[in-house]
Parts: sequence; structure tokens; C-alpha cells
Amino acid sequence: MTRLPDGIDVEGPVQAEDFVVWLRDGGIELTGPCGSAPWILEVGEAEHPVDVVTRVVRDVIGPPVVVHSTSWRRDRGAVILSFVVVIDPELVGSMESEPVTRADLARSEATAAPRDIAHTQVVEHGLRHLAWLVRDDPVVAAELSPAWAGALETYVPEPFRALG
Amino acid sequence: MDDTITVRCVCGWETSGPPDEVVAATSEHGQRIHNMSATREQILAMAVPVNDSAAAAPGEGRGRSTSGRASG
Repeated sequence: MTRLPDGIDVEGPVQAEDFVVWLRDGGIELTGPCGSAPWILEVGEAEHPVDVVTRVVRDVIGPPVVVHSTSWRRDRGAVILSFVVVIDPELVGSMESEPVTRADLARSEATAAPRDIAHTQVVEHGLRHLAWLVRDDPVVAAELSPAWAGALETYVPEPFRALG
Repeated sequence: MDDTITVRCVCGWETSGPPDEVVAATSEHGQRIHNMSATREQILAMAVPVNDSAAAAPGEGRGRSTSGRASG
């Protein structure tokens, strides 16, 4: 049996990893053009990561409500900047969507990064960070509905984190 | 035997067809969905004959799109 090559992949020293989230009946779900899988974007050397994420999300899905970088780590031979992107439910359309599953955080050692970091752990931290922003950042608080504040109540608020 | 080829993206997207169409669709997918540029040579280097693709993944349902646009 012939095995397909790995296929085209995003390269570059800085990459953005987007987790597109929305509220369905009060529960947080993951969606995007890659379904619930991380959506990887290349960030050119002259580009600002936030600008890239905002522009591509707007072009592919529609205008986002919140775009926020929540963590970084070393992976895929690059620095990966993780973003939580909040969108309105009407933008989900036919994109695949799955409820967010909770996970324990990937904790660093005193002087070293965690050895393995699962995507569920990155999302967990991203939503903890969003829970912190909705309390601490008046801009984010103004953009997110009371339903979002309620959905984030079970997340321990955390500021930005280096995951690895 | 025609020269139909298949290219897939690690995100799950996949397209098949004549080389020119596959190159165009893959280039559009990479730029639009991943903000990346790839040359024709890079794209063709990742392509496989469609029969090899079928052997590797019999049946339907591989990937999320065959049209050059991510459909979610």
C-alpha cells in the first residue's frame, strides 16, 4: 500500500495557532475551517501576528468578536503563538464544531518547559486566559456577552503563559 | 492512464485533478486558509498520482474538501 506524503504544511519561524470558539446553548465549542483541530497560520517576518490572525479570520469566516494571544510554546520547529478567537454563532455555518473538553494544564518545571503539551491543554489555558480578560480587560468585557461571562465562570482566570 | 494527481494539506483538506487545477487550488488554499505561499514545484513535490492516493485511503471521506476551499 502506498502511503501519501505528509502533504503541504505551514512553515516559518513564527506560526499562529488559532482556536476558534463560539457559544452554543451556553456551552463553548471549537470550530473553524479545520474543524475543531488547531488552525495553523504562517506569520511572515514583516507581519504582526495579531494582524495576520484577524485578517485571515475575517476573510475566511467573518469578523471576529475577540482575537487574543493566550500563550506561546516551541513546537513544529517554530515559535507557536496560540490565539483564542471568539466568533458569533451565525458565522459557524457548515464548519465542523465540537464542544470544548476540559483538561489539566501543562505545568512547567521550575526551570524547564513541559515535555508534552496537548491541544486540549492549550485550549484550557486559552479559555482560562479569556476568563481573566473578561474580568480584567474592559475592552474584552465589553465585547463578550453576559452568556460568555457565565460560560467562563468555571475556568480559573489566568494571565498570559509560556507553555514551553 | 491520465495524469490526475492528489495533494492534501495537513489540516485535512485535499484536492484531486489535473496538475494545473491542483496547483491552483492548493495555492489558493494555502494562501487563503494558512497565509502561506507555495511554488508550483513545491506543490507538485507533495502530489501523488490519484491511484496511489486511492490505495492509501480507500473510499470517500478523506479530508474536508475537494474543491480548493476549506468547507469546515
